[in-house]
Amino acid sequence: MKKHYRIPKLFLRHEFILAIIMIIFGLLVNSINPVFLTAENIFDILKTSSITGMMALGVMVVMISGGMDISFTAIATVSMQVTVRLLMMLDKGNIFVAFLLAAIVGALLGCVNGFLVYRFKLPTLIVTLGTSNIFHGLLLSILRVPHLYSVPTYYFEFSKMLLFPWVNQEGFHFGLSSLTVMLFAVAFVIWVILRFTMIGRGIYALGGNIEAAKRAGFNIMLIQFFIYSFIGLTAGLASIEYVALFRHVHPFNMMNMMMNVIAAVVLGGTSISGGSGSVIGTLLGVWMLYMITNSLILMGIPSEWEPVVIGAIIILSIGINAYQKSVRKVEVKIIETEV
Amino acid sequence: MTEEFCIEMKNISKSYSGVEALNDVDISIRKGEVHCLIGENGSGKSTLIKIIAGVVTPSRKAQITINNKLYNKLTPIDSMHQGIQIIYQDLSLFPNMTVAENIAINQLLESKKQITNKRRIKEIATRALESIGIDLRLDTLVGDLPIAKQQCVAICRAITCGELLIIMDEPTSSLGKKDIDYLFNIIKTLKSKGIAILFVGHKLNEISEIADRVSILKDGISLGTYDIKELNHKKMIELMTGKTLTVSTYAREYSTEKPILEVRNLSKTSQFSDINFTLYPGEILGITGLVGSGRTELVSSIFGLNPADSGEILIDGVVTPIKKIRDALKSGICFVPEDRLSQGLFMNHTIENNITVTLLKAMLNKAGYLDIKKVRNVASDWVKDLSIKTPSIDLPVKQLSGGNQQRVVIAKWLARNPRILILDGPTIGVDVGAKEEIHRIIRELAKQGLGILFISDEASEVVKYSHRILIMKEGRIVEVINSADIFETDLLEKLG
Repeated sequence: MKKHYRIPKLFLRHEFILAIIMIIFGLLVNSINPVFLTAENIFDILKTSSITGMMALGVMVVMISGGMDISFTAIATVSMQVTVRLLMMLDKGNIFVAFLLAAIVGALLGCVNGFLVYRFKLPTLIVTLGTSNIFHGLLLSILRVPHLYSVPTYYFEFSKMLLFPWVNQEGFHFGLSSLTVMLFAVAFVIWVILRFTMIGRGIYALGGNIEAAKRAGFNIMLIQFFIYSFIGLTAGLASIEYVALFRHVHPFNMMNMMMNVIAAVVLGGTSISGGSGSVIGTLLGVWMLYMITNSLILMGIPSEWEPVVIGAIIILSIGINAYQKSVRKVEVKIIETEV
Repeated sequence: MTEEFCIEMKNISKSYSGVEALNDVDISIRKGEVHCLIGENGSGKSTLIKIIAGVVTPSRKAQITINNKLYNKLTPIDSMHQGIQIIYQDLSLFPNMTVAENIAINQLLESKKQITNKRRIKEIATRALESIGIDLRLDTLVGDLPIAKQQCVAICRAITCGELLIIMDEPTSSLGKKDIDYLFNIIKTLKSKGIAILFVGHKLNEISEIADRVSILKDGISLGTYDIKELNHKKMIELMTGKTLTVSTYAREYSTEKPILEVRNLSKTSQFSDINFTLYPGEILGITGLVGSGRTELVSSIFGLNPADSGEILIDGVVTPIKKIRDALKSGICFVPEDRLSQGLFMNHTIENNITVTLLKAMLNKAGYLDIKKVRNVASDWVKDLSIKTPSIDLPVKQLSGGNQQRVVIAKWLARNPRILILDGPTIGVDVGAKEEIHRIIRELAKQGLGILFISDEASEVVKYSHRILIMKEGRIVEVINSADIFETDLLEKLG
């Protein structure tokens, strides 16, 4: 009887391998610059990556369903402008109202995408390419002065809030940032939805086989609207986090974040063709991306190298993903022939 | 409503934009029986089963009685609540979800509960698997399973909600003999549980094995339901096609002195082994066998697309090594592939371009530029010779009918003046009239001295349109026989 050594399922998972790579990478960089693996630096990475992370959660949901939304940065930009300006005009509001309003604006804009995708069955990439241009274009044509450098203080105050603050030797406050806590909260919610609800099953079903999803009786309309308003909502939240962190409203900066968000989601193991993806993976992907950019700075490497390194890692991660799939097929073959 | 029938449907008619797919069809199904539905392509089988599943509504008022309940209109929900489930030909499974999730999904959706429960999913799946006696790991992703096992998952899913009738649409089309036996065992188990099966198929030996009763459709009309004991292959074919037995009219009209192609001991690991045959100029050799018997692999290796591991190929008595397509082309061998859409034609290109694409080198003028006039003339000539129906040779080939598209592919290769022409499934997806035409063209070519090999799944086609028949099974040639010496029903039995 031939003895088959089966690799335990855990080790084959993309998330596990990513985590291992991150640890090794962290140790490597730390040996060059010991500042890297300090608590202050790690919390800092967590804080600054929260914006990308928030949007990545939205992109992940869309990708799992087999679609692609490239309008989320435009939605974020519009939400940011509308929310901050409106609240400033009314001279009322606080950070919570800002988040709420931005989330609603984002979700509504996302509904436009959802409607076009569902009602007219148009390819999602093309639809969102169109709406991205429309949303952003309309914004720029309406606003005469799109930059806003003076915003109420409650934005920045929020970004300074810390959970369990510590003080280090130099008197510097550090700890788990409010932005990171928000990210964890939203991540938890979407994790529950994906794992424990029929809408979650429906999202995976759409990505797996859209025809079969229709035949099985899933409420496609509900699912599509949920997906696209969710990414709109997260984009809205991310936009206020941006204002909180950077203390200004900018018409273009968030637009430029698109590629990094998508890279992080793909790095985290979500398949571009749809049907698979996880919250843990996406978070790890985001943190990995920021670890890399952070480490390049700490190692004194010029910022021009950043896209090169990110590109190489994306290719590597997709390659590992493809390899894992083929290993799984071989394993199944072995099991089937044993039976 | 008679006691013995659990489903009774009368006066079913359906038309799509004026074309009548079904005309006044009656069908009744007994509790726990295996009922087979047969008919040629286009006879209305798919439409009928979709009506039973409630997915399609009849065009005129019909009488549908299920379990003694009369329905004016049948919706998918009604059908499902009555315990009718349909397994489509593509299985409609989710490859990215586990076996357990796929099996449980119908029941979960029916219960309308929004929260999923992993334990409940496991329960539903285990129960379904156990009731048929299948052993599958619950957490395997369905996309990683072989087709036969995927079908088991589809069946388990169907039985979670299908207590009355499970409709299977051509379930054996991509299965080998072993898997088909496995499937039939499952069907027998379902039968013993009182679940009726409506099995749509067209492989007559399978029907004979599994059916209790058979309903025949032809051109949207029901030709009646027969007990399997009243039928044999001969009668089924006669009913399905409306024609009586076909006898070959291809007498030997060629000389057997010098073979144009001879294959000796040709083998390729896990595809075919020890292939020996000869082909004479002017002869049409029909190659047939079940799916997976290695026919396409064999002819591909003669064409150099899939070079053999060992053995010899002799052209005009001379050993010719064929290791790549260029070698085959040089020896005058041309290959018309099975999948004309993706392998035979450039769908968006014009008829003219498609016909002349392999000849471009010969179309250069002295300066090395393409002689446009020459190209156009060559293409036009071929369109005329093969009677390709088109108003202009500048039309993209995707606008042509299947039969005409096939003629373009054939023209493309004939333009090279081959000596040996290989055709893999030349009339797939082509209607009956065009089929006759294409074989007429092939016969003309044979009369001009070409040696022709063609592969077909249809016993009637092979018997009718070839001189000799090569029967392949599991990578080997099991018999070579003159087409005049055999009836298609006997050929079907040999294949089974």
